[in-house]
Amino acid sequence: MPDITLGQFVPKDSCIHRLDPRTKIVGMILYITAVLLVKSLLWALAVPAAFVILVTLLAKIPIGYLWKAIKPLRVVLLMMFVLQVLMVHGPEDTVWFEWWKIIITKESVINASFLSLRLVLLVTGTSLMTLTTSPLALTDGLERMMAPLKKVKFPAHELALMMSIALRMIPVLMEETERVRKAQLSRGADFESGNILKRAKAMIPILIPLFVSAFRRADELAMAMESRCYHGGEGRTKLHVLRYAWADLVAVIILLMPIAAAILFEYFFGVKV
Amino acid sequence: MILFENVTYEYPETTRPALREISLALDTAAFTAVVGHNGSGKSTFAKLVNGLLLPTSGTVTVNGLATAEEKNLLDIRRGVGMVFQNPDNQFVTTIVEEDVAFGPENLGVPTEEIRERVDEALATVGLSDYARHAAHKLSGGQKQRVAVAGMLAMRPQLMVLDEASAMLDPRGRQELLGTAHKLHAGGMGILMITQYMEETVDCDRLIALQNGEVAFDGKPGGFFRDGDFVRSIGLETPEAVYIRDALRRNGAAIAGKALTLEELAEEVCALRAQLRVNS
Repeated sequence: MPDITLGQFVPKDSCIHRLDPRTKIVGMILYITAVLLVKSLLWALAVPAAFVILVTLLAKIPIGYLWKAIKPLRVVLLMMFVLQVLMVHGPEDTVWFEWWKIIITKESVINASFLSLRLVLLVTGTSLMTLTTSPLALTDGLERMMAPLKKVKFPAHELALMMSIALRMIPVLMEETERVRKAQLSRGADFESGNILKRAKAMIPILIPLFVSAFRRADELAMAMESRCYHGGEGRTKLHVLRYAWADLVAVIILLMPIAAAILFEYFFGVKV
Repeated sequence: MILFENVTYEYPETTRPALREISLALDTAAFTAVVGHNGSGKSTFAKLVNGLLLPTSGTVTVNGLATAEEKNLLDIRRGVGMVFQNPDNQFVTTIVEEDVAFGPENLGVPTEEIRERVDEALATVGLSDYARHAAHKLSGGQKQRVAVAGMLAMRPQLMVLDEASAMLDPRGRQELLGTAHKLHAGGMGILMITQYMEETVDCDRLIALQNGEVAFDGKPGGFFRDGDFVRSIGLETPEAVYIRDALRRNGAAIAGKALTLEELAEEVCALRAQLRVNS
């Protein structure tokens, strides 16, 4: 069964899990900025990489989950790397290797490494967020962060609830896809052979039952929510009230460090290697 | 008290009503079972009780509040909790305790009290250890018990199980039924819609529906006294009743009362003891 890590929460009791979701959201934004800011020194990416590993360890999440997050991307990563190495050259590049039409330069290898590493870091870093934050806490955090927008009739609560339901339905729909696929296979459907167009067409018998059942599920869920007195965001209370703790302040400061480090690297040591 | 007065319900774009002129009163403290074969209208019946469906004609009132009045719906649903057939389609969130909290959160219960209610509800269904688990990784029976806990946390007067055991394995069904009986012993009313006759033998009242009309209304013992009638409305008798009737047809002098295998075994033993005395 295909296993998508993004959007899957691993409940554990750790200091990372206990952080306020808002801290984690802000942290993620800072982290992404740091990863994208580093442009000239490849080794500087070791800072966010170390950060990811440290947080994973602190959160008591098996390192394997990080690999699971990258796994679906491995083909894309490889292709990106190879194409970047072979195709993108500047006029002043140091040539490392040249044979027939194949040219590999030092700069192209560095650029390609940058690109792939950045992608790996972005995917692992952001999946850490969903691995350590329950979808409800996550959407709760988003809802609270968007709360000021409610004044201009922005549907913050509805949006947050929609997101939380979408996240919660991911594993259910994945299982369903697998079930439909097997059911169609046992009826002689062929998903493996033929060109891309043919294979895409072969997906239709999977997608249609999936859509039909998704609508039915939505209908039943709506009924279940109604019978549990759901009537919009007004007057709702919460089981977990978000409260900023000292730990959150400390976390923000720690999170600020990699981004500060990245900026320092970039502007003080940012000479072309 | 739940009152059905001349209730007819017709689904849009159908010609035959799902329920026809139903009039009855349900005691919200009793354990009531509603049975019927597919398309008999039993699920429609359940959804009319808490206003998920509104009658096409006639009225349904819960403790004097008509379900047709939109402003009554919150109060009605607070008093009538509902558990549905598919456990995967009634979870709003991923984590067990967060899902159980969904009802009280909607009711605006203060945070400390939500905590209390969630812990209490999970303890009642015996899932306290699973509070922080991911709901989709539980077994079917456990999932339905989480759904029951979610409903309990709203502290309703009556629990409606709308074919809640239909998708469970025998063990899961047993767990759910055990929970229902435990809650009933604790003072909660149960309205159980089911297609498993074995589940109905211990209830206070049994209502059998056929083609949208009430075919039987009374004690389960009375319903299963006549196996031919049960089969005539498309249902099967429990195993024990089937064996009991077969024994009686073949001349065994046992009373037509046993509904469970245990009761039947006792009667057979009594009969054997008597035969031994006579010979």
